[in-house]
Amino acid sequence: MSRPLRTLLVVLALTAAPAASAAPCSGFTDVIDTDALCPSVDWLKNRAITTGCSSATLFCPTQPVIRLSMAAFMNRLGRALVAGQHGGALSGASVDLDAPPAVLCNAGFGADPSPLTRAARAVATVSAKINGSATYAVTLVQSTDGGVTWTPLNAVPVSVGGSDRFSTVRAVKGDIPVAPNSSPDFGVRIARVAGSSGTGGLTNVVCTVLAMLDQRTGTSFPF
Amino acid sequence: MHVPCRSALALVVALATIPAHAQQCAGFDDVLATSAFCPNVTWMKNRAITLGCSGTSYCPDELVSRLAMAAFMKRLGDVATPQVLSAEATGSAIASGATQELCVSAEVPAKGYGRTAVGEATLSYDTSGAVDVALRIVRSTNGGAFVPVHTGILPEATDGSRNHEHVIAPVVQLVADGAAAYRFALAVTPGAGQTITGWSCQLLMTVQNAIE
Repeated sequence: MSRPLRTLLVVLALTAAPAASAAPCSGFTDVIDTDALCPSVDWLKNRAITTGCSSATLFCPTQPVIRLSMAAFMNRLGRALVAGQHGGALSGASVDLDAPPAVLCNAGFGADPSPLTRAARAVATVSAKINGSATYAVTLVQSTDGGVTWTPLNAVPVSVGGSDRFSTVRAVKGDIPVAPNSSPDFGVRIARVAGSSGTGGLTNVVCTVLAMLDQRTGTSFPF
Repeated sequence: MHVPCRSALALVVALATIPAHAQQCAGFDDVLATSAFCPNVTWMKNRAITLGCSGTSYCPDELVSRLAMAAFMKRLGDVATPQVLSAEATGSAIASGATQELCVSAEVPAKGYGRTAVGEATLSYDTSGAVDVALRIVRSTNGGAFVPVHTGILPEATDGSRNHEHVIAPVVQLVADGAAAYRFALAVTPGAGQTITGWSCQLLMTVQNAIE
């Protein structure tokens, strides 16, 4: 083997080895992905708490934190940790179970988009006076297009018989994934169960929805 | 120096040494318990946000590197974020007099600090006749048997003329020992000689890390 070729091979081996064993952590070339603190750096990057230091590909891990930077970090951390919550309510309405509205009441997060995957919890309660006999379902629904279309999350089936009976139904659900940059709305729908018989509708309807949106999640939706 | 004077000096030295050891803040020998920042350091130590710069030192005057800051902020984020437990299930018969745990949640792992839990559960069920049902939110500690988290039960009765009865278990709030792991469920017990023929349940619990 010629000397220039041996030299070239040595150079190639030296340059290839670090690249294979030291991948950037979360896009930062000055923190390797095998560093014990890489998950922490990744955690901050994913929540836009850090955007890097002198460039988007550098984290400057050994630089001290000045008080001004600390203010930015604390501000971003605070926003990342505070769960948004919204509520919606309706009182006194009547509902025709054969032609129910798409959603009875809803709570929206339209002004709170995020580039992150988030998780929501929702609690809905419907109280109504039943006039007649019917089998109906109270369903938590979610919309990601500003309330144009609604997707069922879960349903609570209820039957009532007789007349002038009050009923309260509650539906709950957690760990509802919210896609990045979406504007979620959560609502409650009430409708006759398909194929069921019965007459009458609902009056004195009181509906409440409380939805909480976590900026980050625990173990269910790692990102 | 005569003997009484030496004894006095020894006593002074001893007194000076013992209080210094007793005044350690959260086990760190470089932060005094009387420091205005000791409560902050203790808060972080108790939640494993700081592990110290060595086993017994906090290095209070050292600058924080950006890498160390990342670790601090992630650990703080983990502490500050509640864990949500959500479960849904459907099933068929529950035998007469039998207690069955429905909607069993995932396990909340043990932590080094106290927590509080709030939540609720709902049950819709079908019957073929008159049924009395007792409902309770129950908790399993460290994989053990489920026990009620509150003393009362929520009785529900149907006269058999309806299906899909719906019951809401009460919201509960309890303090959870930080050293234990927990699961939650809704316990359902039909009355003697009575059966549930079908059911669906929902459970939503939120476990919040204690802030004090």
